[in-house]
Amino acid sequence: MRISVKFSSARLMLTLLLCGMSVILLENYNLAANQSLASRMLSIASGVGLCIVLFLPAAILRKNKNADICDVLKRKNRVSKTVFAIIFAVYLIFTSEYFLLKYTDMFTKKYYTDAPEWLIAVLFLAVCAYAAYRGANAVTRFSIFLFGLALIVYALIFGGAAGELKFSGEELGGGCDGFINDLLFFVTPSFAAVIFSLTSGYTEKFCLRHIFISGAALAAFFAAEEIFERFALGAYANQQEYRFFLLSKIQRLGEIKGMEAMYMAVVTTSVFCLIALSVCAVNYTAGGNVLLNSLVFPVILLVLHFCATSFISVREILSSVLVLDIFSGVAVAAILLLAVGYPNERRNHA
Amino acid sequence: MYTSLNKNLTQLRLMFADSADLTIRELRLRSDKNALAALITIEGMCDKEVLAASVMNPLLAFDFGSKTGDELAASVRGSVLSSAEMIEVIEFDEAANYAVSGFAVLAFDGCKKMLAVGVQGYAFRGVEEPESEVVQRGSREGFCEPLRINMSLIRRRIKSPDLVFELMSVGEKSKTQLMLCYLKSRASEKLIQTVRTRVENCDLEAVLGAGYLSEYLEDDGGKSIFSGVGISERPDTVCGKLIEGRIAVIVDGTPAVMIVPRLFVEEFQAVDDYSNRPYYATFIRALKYMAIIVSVYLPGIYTAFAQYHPEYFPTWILIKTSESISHTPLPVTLEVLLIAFVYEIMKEAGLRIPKSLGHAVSIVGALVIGESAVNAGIISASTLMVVAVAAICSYVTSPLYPPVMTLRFLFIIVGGMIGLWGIVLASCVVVINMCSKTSLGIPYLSSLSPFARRTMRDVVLRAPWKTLSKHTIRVQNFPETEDE
Repeated sequence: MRISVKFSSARLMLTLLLCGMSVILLENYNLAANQSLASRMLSIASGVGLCIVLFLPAAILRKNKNADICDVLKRKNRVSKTVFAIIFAVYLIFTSEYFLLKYTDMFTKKYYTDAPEWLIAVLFLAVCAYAAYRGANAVTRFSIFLFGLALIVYALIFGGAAGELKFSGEELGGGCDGFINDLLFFVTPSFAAVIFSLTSGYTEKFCLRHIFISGAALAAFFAAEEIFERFALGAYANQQEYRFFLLSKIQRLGEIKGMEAMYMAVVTTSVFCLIALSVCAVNYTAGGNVLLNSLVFPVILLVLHFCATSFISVREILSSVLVLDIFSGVAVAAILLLAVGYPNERRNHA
Repeated sequence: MYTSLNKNLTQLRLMFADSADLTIRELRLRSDKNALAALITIEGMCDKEVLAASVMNPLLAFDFGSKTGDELAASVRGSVLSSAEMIEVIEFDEAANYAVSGFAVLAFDGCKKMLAVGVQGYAFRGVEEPESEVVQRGSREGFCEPLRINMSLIRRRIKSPDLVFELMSVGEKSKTQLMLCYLKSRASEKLIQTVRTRVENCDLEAVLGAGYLSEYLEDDGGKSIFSGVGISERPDTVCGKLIEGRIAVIVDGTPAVMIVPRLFVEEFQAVDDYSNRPYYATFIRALKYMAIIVSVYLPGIYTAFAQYHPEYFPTWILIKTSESISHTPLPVTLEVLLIAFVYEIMKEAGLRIPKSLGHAVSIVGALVIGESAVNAGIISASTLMVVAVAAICSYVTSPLYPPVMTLRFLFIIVGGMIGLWGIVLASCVVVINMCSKTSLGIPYLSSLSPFARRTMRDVVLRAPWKTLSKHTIRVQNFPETEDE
């Protein structure tokens, strides 16, 4: 049974925050190797700050004009509607595929080395399609449990790593190129702005404060991850794939091992929420048959996934941080354009 | 109805197809006109002593003088009979319904209506302590089969005119009586109307128990593995729920009452929680939540660990487990499935078997299947222990047993086929399903998700009574309650 009732905007933000955290959980050689801590912290602050700025058009549209993309597109002519629909559709597909590729890559490299990547993708997308069919409300309700799980997992991983922190060997350095590289990586959570704008029609009681709180929490999490990886794993971590996996793998609770299994659970559920929300966004904006939409979008992702695993150049494009950031910029610019041309709520009522 | 008594009786005989339990006693009343009357009853549904003392004797002793049929009926109703329940009936269907419900139906010659007199009295089980909801401190009374007695058990606990019992009947053939019970000032009119409509829409031929109706009361028609309809055998539990604005459905012939809406967190609440000290009740609830998690996940995780991730076992457990598993012929997944399956069979056998044979089943189960199978090397001791622990944990909240058992099997299969990742994916599906489930439009996981801070004082924590009594939580006020 699908839920028709609106839910709090804060919960959607919480879901997006958890999705945003998956960016660093799936980080793999995306960060410059020899950046100093100060430079990395600056790039985190700037990256997340930029994310908040990129969120503003969506926030203005929601707060001042009490509208979402769907409402705005209804007032546009057919050509504009098609152009914007294409931009957002391509964006959602690209973002979902980006995270799906990263996820399946991490999974086959670190967990089931013998498992075919396509099978992982098929099973994963099937679950996402089911969740999307159940609706955005169910997905965001799920995120409350994910939040509880993530808190426990991060407490265990960071708590375990706290005893291994060795604050030595830190060198000042790192060039401008490294900083820009890091900045590009830390801007990737800006996908949250686009997904928010596409799904905010499901929500009510939006508050601008939530964006800043989420941004601060995200930055704090990135910073904590950086500190723990840098000082608990040391330089060795730079040569390893998926550093967060490594951080979780070396933790244990007495005789109990397997923190990497918990990391896997968190990263799986975070990416699951992200893709399910993207499908929900498609459901919301496209309208029509929900079941069909929930199936078509994952099938497109699956086809792209096959292409990416077969052709290395396709994979490189689909898993490029730079391309994702450019797409995010374009999508946010589109939201800004739509927001500027839309009358605000008071005038609308008049 | 006809004015002729004979015609009326013939019609009733036709309706009942001369059924053996239809009893028609024709009476000649003391009057100038030798007026005729008939008493229609159903064998075994009336109390014969009451019938004789409060209907037959006064009726035969009274001198009706020269009254006509209609005057006779009015006079019987007004001054002859002393029965508290007396209803005028003008349709044959109505008369038949009252007769089968234990009323004595009085028909008079020359009168187009009949009188239904309440003389119900049939054999039934008395009020006993419910077996499935035993409490340490609290009432020992449980519901029994007759509707009216169950009604009185609730009324005795809520002596307020605010408490409403609404009589309905379901089942085309069985015409089972049921009552909607609610507190008028607490239950939402919308919820009451929803329940009423759903009961009316029940198209079953016969409703022989409360369980028949439960799927009709669910939002999703019973498609989810979790139930949105609660069942209780305890009047005090039902009263507690009524005060929170819920609606009880009492079905005649069932010693348990259905309560809607039902939320997931309620499965962990018990009457004893409110008699015990808050810290202890909180501890017990936390224990229940953990037990359910263990019961659902332990066999699946064990299978996944043993099959795919043995490195996650602590070393000493790994040594013992691998040693134990290596001596058994079956793969771990099959072994866990087999033991869980045998356990379910034994449980079902234990439930259906006559009590005198129960000990034999226990001995066979524990000694022959358990110990001997381990000694013979067919199953490993560690696997047996894992399944046993999960089985015991599942009884902590017995209403959740069906979904817990289903999920346990699901996680064993998924854990055995795909490992921990499979368990995570399956958990996503299950939790999403639960998150999207509603009971009369109220989110099934309410209090937890959507999170409601004010109601959390009676979820895992059991706040002291002084806090709980400040605001009574009304179920329709939970966030994100849907409109029908």
